[in-house]
Amino acid sequence: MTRYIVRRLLHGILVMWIVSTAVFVIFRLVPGDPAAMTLGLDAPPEAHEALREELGLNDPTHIQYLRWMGNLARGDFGKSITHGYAEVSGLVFPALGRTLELASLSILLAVIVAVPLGMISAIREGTWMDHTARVFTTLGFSMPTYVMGIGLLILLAEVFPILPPGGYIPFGEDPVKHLSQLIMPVVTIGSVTAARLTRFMRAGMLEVLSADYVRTARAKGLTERRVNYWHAFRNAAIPLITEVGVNFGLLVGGMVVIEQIFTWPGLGWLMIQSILTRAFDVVQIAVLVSAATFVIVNLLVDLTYSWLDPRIARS
Amino acid sequence: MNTEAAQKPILDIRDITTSYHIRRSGAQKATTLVAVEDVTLSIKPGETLGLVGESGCGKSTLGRTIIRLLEPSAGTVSFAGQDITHFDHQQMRPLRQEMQIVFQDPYASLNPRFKVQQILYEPFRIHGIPRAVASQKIPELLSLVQLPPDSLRRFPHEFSGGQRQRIAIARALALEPSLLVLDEPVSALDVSIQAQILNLLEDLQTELGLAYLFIAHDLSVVGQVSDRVAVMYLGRIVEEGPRDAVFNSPQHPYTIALLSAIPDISAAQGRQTRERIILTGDLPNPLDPPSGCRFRTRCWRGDQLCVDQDPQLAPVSDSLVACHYPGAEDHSGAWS
Amino acid sequence: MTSAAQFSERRKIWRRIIRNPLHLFTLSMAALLVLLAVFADLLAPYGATEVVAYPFELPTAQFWLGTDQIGRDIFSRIIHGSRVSLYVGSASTAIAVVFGVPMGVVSGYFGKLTDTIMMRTTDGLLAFPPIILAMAMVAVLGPNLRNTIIAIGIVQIPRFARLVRGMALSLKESEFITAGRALGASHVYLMQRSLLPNLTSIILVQFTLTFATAVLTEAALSFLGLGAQPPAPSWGAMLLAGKTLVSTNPYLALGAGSAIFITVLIFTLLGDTLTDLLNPYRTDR
Repeated sequence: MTRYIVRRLLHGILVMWIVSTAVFVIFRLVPGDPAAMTLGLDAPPEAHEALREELGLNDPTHIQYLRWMGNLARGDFGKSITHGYAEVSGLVFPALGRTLELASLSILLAVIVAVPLGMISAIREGTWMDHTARVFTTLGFSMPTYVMGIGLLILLAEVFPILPPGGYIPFGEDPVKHLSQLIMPVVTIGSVTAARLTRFMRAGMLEVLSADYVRTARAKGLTERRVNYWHAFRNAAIPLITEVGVNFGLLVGGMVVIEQIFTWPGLGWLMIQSILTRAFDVVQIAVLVSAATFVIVNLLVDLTYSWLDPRIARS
Repeated sequence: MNTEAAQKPILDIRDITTSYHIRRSGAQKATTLVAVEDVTLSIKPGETLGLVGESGCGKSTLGRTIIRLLEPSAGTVSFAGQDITHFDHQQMRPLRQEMQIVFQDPYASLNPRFKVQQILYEPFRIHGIPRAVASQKIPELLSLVQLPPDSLRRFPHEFSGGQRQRIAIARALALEPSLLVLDEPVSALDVSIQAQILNLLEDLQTELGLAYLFIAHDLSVVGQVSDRVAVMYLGRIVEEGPRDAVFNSPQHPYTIALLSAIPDISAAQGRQTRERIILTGDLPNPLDPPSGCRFRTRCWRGDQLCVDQDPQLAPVSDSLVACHYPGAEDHSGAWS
Repeated sequence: MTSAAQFSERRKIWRRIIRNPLHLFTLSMAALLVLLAVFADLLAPYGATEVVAYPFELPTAQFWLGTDQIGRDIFSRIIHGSRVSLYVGSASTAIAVVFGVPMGVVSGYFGKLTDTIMMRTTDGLLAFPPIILAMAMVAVLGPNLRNTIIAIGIVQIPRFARLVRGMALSLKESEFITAGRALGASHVYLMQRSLLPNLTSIILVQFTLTFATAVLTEAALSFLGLGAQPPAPSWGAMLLAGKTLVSTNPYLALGAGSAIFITVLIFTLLGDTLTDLLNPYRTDR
């Protein structure tokens, strides 16, 4: 078990190394000169050259790479020249926090909807309840979050203006306002994610329901109800954790568009604003952090999974 | 047939050892599995050498080493007098026309996405033989293995097991080889179909003068087709000799045990019955073979000598036998 | 030979299509969508960038969905938009196939070090949420349609490589591959002629699903202002314009949104249909 954890951690570190290398490669392809972009085109050549020197852009690529990796290893994300030399971490981490808030609430909603729906769909396979649930999942699969988000926005902020069209007020300042701003984005992402999880839960339940030990449980005289709800649920729920983890990681990245629609200042929103102002020193860290979140969530999920089902670690 | 040529072996392998490196989950170091050890054999043109042994004894590995699908870790493989042990892909290419293989499972050995036409065209295509030549030869191949000409437009899954094996044989014959390795060619087939395929193989041998290495776990099948028989146990040859010698007076206890398992016709005719010897225990783990004689853990003749000393192949009557106590089974049970 | 066995593969697929109304529906919808994109110029009442009326007209018999902020016919622009979507979808998926499939085949076929390096690299690339990686690349290369195609294509490469590698890994031990080796076939020959034909169904299904994702991603990038630039009729860009104009003419956002939704739905269903139709192990009653 310990060996599995160590191996899994080492793999995570390896992936992070590849990820940060990929980010370095991508952002060294920038066609423009970061120094010229910051200073404007009519800055004196001496100032331009001084900034290039300061940013280390005159060094050979491998030196720049080593410095990049070294800084990351020390947790130094640098300062943003386009944001008046503000610490990049001071911009990125609060934004990540707001994204995580949105993602966790959405996942919570999705699980609350998907688990019972998937179970009913599987237990009552082939009935009208199952068919309704399956129509819901198929539509949810093809419904882009941004289309649904805009639909909700039109309906609940324009046609029936009962909710704020977006924005962000910290919970500490006005909890009610804060929560009302969360409703639409959470419902949007939550319901689309619920479609995926429902499908997963249903498939898992069906598989378990046809497995031998459920039949054994039936033979032992347990009632139908207990067979379904207990044995099948426990075994279908464990793989669901992986699915939740995968979706959570994807959400952190996929929320870009939703944050943009509801002007929620999360990581995706920060990324877009930084791209539009060509603040690549912020963008690269935001990209890195979103990938890191994905990796860490998956790591946690795998470890949880192996703790719940120790056969995984042994294989 | 030219007698002098007939005496020169087409295939000659000396002291062949083939091993696999396997990594067991959890283990840090790779273990070496010696699948074939110190095997020396030869096959003459037009001859059939039967190779028998239980599954997992290394006979398929030996077959694949011979046609250089696997590289031996020691020893030499010579084909038609030429040492091919360390030939690379390019050097092997012309020789691929000379030696071919037919596999056990005709369901797996034919590309499911290809029609028979394409399957039979492959050998020609690989060796750059013009399409015109191939399209002339393919119908001939089909009639050689007695399949109807309209088979060409069908996919493998439209055929029965025996028919697919015919297709596999036709493919192997396409380049007119002189040696065919038949790796359990009939063991996946029904008994009635087995006989048909064995007859076909015999006809082809007479017609084309092929040499066969016939690999099987079933001694009765080997007995039907072989000129000589080699018996393999745990990667080694334990007895080798002319078919009649091996079948009528087996010397190695393992051979005796294998033969005793064949339903005996003479018994039904009321003549002297053979005692059936049932081998106890499983095949030892090939990763950790027993010391001395490898067969001793299942042998009823074994003593301390067998534990201490590894018997070498030595002539006993007409055969070569690797046993400290060779000899036909005595019904008085002197050895037990 | 029985007559049942003489049914060719193709006829079997036709029979499956005709027997299942959902397959028939999905395939015709997909065909219709492709035709719509190809003949957009003939089918759309007005040109993509043609100003035909005052801005913000509500739907009329002449302008079915009204006009946008410049006075262009929304309905016509949505029809023209199918061309942008399907073009980006097919071009970027083609990039993913052209690079991902050979990578996967080589990785699965050779195994060992080649495989380890390739798989660890894809691990790294797959750690990025897809849209983030695409955004980063578009941001760096410059926001336009060509770079959108490149970015979406690259993001999908490791997904193709993974899938194909898994299949190649299990197929390379097949005896028909060993038989090919015994015939003297080179590695390239075996990968190209023996492995690849057995991967076509799974590649085709994955192509469809990737296509749907690509359409979705293009719309998202254009919505964020990083994809197709005005005045190109991209559904994502129309959604962005529609969002800001929701109170004046909601039909712009609704029209573009539905177009994206329907297209993705059709291609997702097409994936299911193809999986069902091309399954060689399925036996028909």
